[in-house]
Amino acid sequence: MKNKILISAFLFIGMAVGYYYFYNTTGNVKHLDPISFSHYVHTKQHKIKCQVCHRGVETQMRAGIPNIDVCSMCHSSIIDSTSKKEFVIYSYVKDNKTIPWKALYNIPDYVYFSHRRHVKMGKLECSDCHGDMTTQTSPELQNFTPFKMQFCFDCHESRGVSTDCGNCHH
Amino acid sequence: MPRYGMVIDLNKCNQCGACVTACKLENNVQIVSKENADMGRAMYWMKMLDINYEGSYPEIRPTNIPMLCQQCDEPSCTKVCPVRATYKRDDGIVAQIYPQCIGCRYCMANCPYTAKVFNWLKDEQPVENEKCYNTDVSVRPKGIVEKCTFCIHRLQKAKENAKSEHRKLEEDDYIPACAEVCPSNAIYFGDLDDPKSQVAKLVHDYRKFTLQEELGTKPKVYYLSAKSE
Repeated sequence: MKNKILISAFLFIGMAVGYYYFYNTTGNVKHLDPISFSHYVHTKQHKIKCQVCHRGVETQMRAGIPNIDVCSMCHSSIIDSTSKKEFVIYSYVKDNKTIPWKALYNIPDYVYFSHRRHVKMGKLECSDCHGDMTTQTSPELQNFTPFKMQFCFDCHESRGVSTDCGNCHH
Repeated sequence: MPRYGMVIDLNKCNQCGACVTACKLENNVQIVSKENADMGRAMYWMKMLDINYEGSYPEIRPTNIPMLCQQCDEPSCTKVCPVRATYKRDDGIVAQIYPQCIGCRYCMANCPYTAKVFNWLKDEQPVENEKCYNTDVSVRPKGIVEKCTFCIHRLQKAKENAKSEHRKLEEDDYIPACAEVCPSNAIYFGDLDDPKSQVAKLVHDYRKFTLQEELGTKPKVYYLSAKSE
């Protein structure tokens, strides 16, 4: 009995410490990306459109996560010497190293999803699936919407798009 | 709505097997080891079916015909699937939904053409082969049934391209890999309901026949041969 209480106490403390470190009190959310990328700074302050960095969004199946080839278009030299983040990204560009971004939106390999089909032809906004990214000051921790088939179905049915299984699963 | 079908001219076919290879590569069909192939686990969506042998060994001359899913108008496989993993689409293509399949193999047992194959093994290809995977087609896991879908992913791409160019889907836009690669142009593909299409004209040819017509499955793959097989 005593052991059980001890184990549960340790578990509780462990969970509390984990929670504290994950959502720490300063408000800075811990994420797994190497750089705390701010969509707000890029899209709102510098007025860069989504397509500039996510190059494939209108032409290809995958929108693509930009890496140093895209970053170096602007960050080939230090623009803001007070920014620590920029120094990190500059060091990646200078050393010609790939930035190990963590992809948050992963679609299972048995689903065919084309960004081109949805964005260019379906005239969907990025925010319909990804939420309003222009207000994000640090990388997201979880998906804007749970990527379940019901989410796809609801949207397809409301817009009168085909819900044939073979269109997405092949 | 179109009704896609195929015509294979056996008088033009030189039995080279290019269609078999193209199909295997296009659809990421698993390549199994020799030991497993000997156990009847070889996987082909399109195969060369031996129908006749002439002469005697070693001067034997086999007659093969390209054999794929017959994409029946009255498919027998869809009727027995307990989870609707295989079904006939509005455009006539009999599709297989891999995440839905439970691997009971009722459809395989009920298919008179043995066109369906079962994944006996986990797909473990050499690293070099993985680089050749077609990203438009999923790699099927172990324990499910798969089949020819007339390269349905190509239809999706063709529709996308046609829409982006603000035009209707034309006959040449969508063609399966086997028909595209055939060096003697023996495989024709198109809309059977479109009177202008070549396949619609060819199905009225006097040489036309379908496999196992007596079963009433109404295949949409037609064969042309001057010899009655």
